[in-house]
Amino acid sequence: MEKEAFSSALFSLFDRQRFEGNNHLAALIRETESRYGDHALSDDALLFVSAAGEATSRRKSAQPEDDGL
Amino acid sequence: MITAEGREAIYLECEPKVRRYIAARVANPQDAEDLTSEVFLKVYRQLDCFDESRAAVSTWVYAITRNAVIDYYRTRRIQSEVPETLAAGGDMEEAIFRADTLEALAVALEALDERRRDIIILRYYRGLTLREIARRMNLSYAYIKTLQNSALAELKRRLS
Repeated sequence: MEKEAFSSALFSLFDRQRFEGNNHLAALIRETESRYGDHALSDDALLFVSAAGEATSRRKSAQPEDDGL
Repeated sequence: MITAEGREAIYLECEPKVRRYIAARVANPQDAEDLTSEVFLKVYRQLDCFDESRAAVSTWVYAITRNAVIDYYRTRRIQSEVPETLAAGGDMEEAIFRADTLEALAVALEALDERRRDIIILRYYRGLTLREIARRMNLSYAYIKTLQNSALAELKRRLS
């Protein structure tokens, strides 16, 4: 499997976790979040959250080189 | 033909999952509520087409929920594009919908050292970029990238 396809699959698996809530995986996620706290919301995501906590339609700037595998 | 009791059982099993998933994806509470209702309208409308020999009900409802959220982003133009953590899929669709894949992922992640596991979870669950992860972990971007590549290779080996 190519790196990009595997990367894409991981995003999908973690997305499914948000629905299914596998206990084992949830425990590992909690451990990571306990180390990095609730500030683990991405800077990119914060761009779309208004003071009232609602998403806005602000366009994000692309950084295609940022997460190359 | 699924009975009224069957419909109620599906609702009781899946409603909390649908609600939690949508709440994590849709910031506006009213939109989240509307979307949850839309999902169950679709579920009930398509219920007679559901083939339980091919997938568990929960898996089928997940697929409907995920598509509903993607449609929400696309049609209401909340952002310029569907979030990276939601848009993926591709060739792994079948494996993603297998019931045991999440447990296999957990086992593979647990085998990684703590630092590499944290990077994978922050990147693929939280949706942080590598630069954001580098800042939060107080490590260089280049090192985070190296650790991520190593973690991905190890996970791929264990999950293949």
